[in-house]
Amino acid sequence: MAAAQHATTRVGRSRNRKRGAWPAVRGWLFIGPVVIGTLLFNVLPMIPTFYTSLTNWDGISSPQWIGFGNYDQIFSGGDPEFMRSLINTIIYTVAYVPIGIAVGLVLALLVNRQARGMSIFRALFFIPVVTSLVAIGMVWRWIFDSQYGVLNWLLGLVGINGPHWLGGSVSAMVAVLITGIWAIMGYNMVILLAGLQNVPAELIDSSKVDGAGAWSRFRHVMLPVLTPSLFFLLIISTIGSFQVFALIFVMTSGGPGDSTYVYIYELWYQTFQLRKMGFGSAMAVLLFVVLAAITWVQWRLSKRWVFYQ
Amino acid sequence: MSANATTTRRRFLGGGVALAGSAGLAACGGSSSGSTPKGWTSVSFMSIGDAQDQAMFKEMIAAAQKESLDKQQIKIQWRPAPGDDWERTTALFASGTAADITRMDDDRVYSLALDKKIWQLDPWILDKKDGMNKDDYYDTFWTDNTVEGYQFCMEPAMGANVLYYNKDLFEKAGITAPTSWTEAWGWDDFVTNVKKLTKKSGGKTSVYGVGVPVNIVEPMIYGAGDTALNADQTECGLATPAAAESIDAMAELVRNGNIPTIDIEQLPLFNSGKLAMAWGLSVQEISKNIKWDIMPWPKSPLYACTKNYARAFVIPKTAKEPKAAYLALKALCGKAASDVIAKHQWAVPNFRTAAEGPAFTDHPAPATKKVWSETLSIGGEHPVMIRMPRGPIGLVWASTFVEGTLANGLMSGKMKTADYIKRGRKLVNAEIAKEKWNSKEGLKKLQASGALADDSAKVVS
Amino acid sequence: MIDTATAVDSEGSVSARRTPARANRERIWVRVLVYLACIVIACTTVGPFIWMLSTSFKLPSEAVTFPPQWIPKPFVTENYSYLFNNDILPFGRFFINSAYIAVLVVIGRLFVCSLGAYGFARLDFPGKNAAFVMLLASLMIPDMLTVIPLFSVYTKLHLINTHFPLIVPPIVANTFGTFLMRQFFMGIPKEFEEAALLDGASHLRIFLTIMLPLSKPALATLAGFTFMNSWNDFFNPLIYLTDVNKFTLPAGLAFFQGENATQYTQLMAGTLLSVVPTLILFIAAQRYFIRGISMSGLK
Repeated sequence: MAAAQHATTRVGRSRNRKRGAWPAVRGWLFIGPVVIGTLLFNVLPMIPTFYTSLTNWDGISSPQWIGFGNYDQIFSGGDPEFMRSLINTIIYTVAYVPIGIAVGLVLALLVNRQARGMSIFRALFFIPVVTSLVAIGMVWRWIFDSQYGVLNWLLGLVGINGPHWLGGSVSAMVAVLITGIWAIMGYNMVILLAGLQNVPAELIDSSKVDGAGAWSRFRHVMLPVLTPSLFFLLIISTIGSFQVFALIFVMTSGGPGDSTYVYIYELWYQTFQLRKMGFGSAMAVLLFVVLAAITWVQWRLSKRWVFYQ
Repeated sequence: MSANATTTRRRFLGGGVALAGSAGLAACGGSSSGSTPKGWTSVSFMSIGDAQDQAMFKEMIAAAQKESLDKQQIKIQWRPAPGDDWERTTALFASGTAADITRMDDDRVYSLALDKKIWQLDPWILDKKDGMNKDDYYDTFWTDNTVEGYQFCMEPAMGANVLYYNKDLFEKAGITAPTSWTEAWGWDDFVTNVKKLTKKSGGKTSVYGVGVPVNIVEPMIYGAGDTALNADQTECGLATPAAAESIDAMAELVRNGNIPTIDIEQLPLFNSGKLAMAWGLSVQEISKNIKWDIMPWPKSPLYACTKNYARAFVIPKTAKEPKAAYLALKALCGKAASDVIAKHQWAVPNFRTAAEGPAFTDHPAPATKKVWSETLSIGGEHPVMIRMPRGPIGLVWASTFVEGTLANGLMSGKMKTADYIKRGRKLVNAEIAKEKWNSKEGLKKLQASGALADDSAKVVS
Repeated sequence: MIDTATAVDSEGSVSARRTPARANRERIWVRVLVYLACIVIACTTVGPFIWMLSTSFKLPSEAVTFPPQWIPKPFVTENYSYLFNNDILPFGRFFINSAYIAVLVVIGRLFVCSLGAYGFARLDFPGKNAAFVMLLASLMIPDMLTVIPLFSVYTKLHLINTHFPLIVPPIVANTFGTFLMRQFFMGIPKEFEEAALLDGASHLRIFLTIMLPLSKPALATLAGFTFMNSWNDFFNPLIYLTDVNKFTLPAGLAFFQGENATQYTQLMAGTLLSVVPTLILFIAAQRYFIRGISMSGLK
């Protein structure tokens, strides 16, 4: 009691001293390094891209101003692969984000216990995350191979005639998704695991005493506390999924035909194969706008379902 | 609790100091490897390639130094680099930090020349004292990659495209392989043999007849008498029915399962005896269990169904001592270095005596070596060197028909040949219209740009 | 280091309240299922890894065969010895470069990102939301295009072919780390700080003595990912380094991807070797990932 009274007086005094500009200065002292660093190394280098998108620069000679020419070409259908690459990317994202997060959640719930061997399982689930995407792409390319791939061989052992994975339009996308999710699920698991540690043991205890089943416990106690982490994964996964490239480059080269040809693949092709850096920059600017819009929507919606303690 | 606070705070401060210190350290000093003796001129050389290539480049440099560069007091500073990604090269050229001799993709030379980023080599090559002897090399050395007839790069070796074949599979099918390009199969014989060699089981192919490269369309087009672009380069070629039929013939073999689709890698297939004929293998990677040899590609009416390829060496304008760089490049294309190339069976050297001498021929496999070197000298009736148009439109043509989704669609059996041709032609024609291109534009632009050091100096007229 | 909260096994504290027999039956059933699921999933994550291991001991020409061979015949170690005994690529040096860069980046980033995250999570000041929006926006433009302007700037500052672009930008220009820590901080109940705030503690002190110790799982996570991203970074070393002695491990491994064919067996050997440190780190950091938090620490 006495301590509380003493505390109020002290707070009162300190408030009088640190008035005015101090909260702002202090706030910026905390976030300063990160904000300035991001500005210098990430944001400022983006600005030439905006400028380049209004030119037909090829990366070597001096750029020539063409105004909205690149954007015209995109929106008037001048690049047939643009639409295809955008659709493929959306398909990929719509599957990758929810399934990836769901799988990560299942894994996190499985290993969130101090039972024997769980730490080993956690490490084993994390192995794909630690390996380079190029190596993963190569190994899974072999696994999916119709001639000498392990997957079809295993399927053959149980009498199933496996499809020509990387040669079929739909199956190639499925193969790439499986590989992508496999590569990331350990990462999602770890993020959600960290989030799960914030669940107050008290609430779990009391819900068990109240007779709540495991599902109810999950839905009403753990899930709300997990929402900040889920939100984080939602944003990061969506942004990452829209920029998928390396895995597809190694596994299918965008094929067969253009069934797995994604947005960044077309951007890369235009910029570095056709040497149309101006056009590639326009595609990058459009991607930025799309991602910004999606993120903004996700952010606004998050106020309804994300719960901070 | 307070002990904790002090510890954590101290750790943080310590971390901050370490951070600042290391950033400082990291910023200073980037000394290059190797040391140039005093008074010598140093020439940096960026060799792009994988670990095996680099081993060969190291030997090449040593051979070149011993043969002539040591006497001229020029020291090559070796900068090995993996892969030939254009992002990196663009950044290097854009910032003026490209090596004095840079090995790069041959397609890029034209645009670099036009943008005044690399030296024209003709004046040095024609020099009385330090020039090069035209007859030392095959013609392809001088004609394969010129910019409107001028030399802007050197290609010490060509990757000769031959067919590797499995001797056992041929024997079983009762087929004898030709041993020289003059005896190469005609198209019909080729198709018959491919079908004979293909084995199927349960609807799926268990042994493929032949594996082809994606750019097979180029020789197929030229072989049918058509061209990539029309004569004055104002319109995309590939307009004749003969060319369409020719491409479709190959696509048909893909659809029928005689040729593996583009997603299947050929080397493992060949090594497990499931591919009778393959292209583009590396000798060191063929399994010891396979008895193999090389044979020529078949002839389509006018050309052989293949083309050679090469990587080019250029000298950027930012080289500090261009003449020394030229001398180093000359040595890297000279006899000693070319013998190293021959020894490693890396590619076919353009230096005549190296390609025909013991270094090249003295290998256990393949038995029929001359099939390789013949690709450089065969002219006349069925040349292997197809003169694809260089320049911006040539680049767009290659990117459209050979490198992008169209090619992938065709060679995975998913796209109809007619669609492939129609869409590709549309894109190329659009590009020609945009650039207002014709065959004289290239030379005009080159002369206007000031990229030529001396426009009367031309090694090949 | 003494934690501010005592670790309690939440499951353990509950079981005592139920009838032992019923609890045991339920727990066994659940446990068996859990272990089964874990084993199946572990097979899928480890399987390809074992395949890579197997390939790394094969002869290059036997790398891919049909039917797939799990046990290499013949079994060779030349792929590994090649990595260290060839006279072109200094793999030992690659390792050291990767290691010191990664360690610096981890230390720096934990420091800088958690500071920033605290500011975003707990403080209110003008410009905060705009700054956060800017951080998020920086994630949305693909790397490959921003490299060229950056490259020119580094050239003018003579920072090309140094390790600066691999160390400093990842430390200070990292939205992911700040975002992660922010979400985690926002998930910590405010009760923990309220007492200290009432006592007049400065925010810096609260940050150092309360938030950070409570955030060990998130910090460990961030450290793990940071190490991994820095260690596996393939793109940036290849762009900014021209002297092969300065290369990091992934850049060095890129030498095994040729124009025509990839040297699979050596690439697998090299990749496996580079996976080992991160894996060891992760296993060692395991104990920070799982802790129970009990509110009893407050009282």
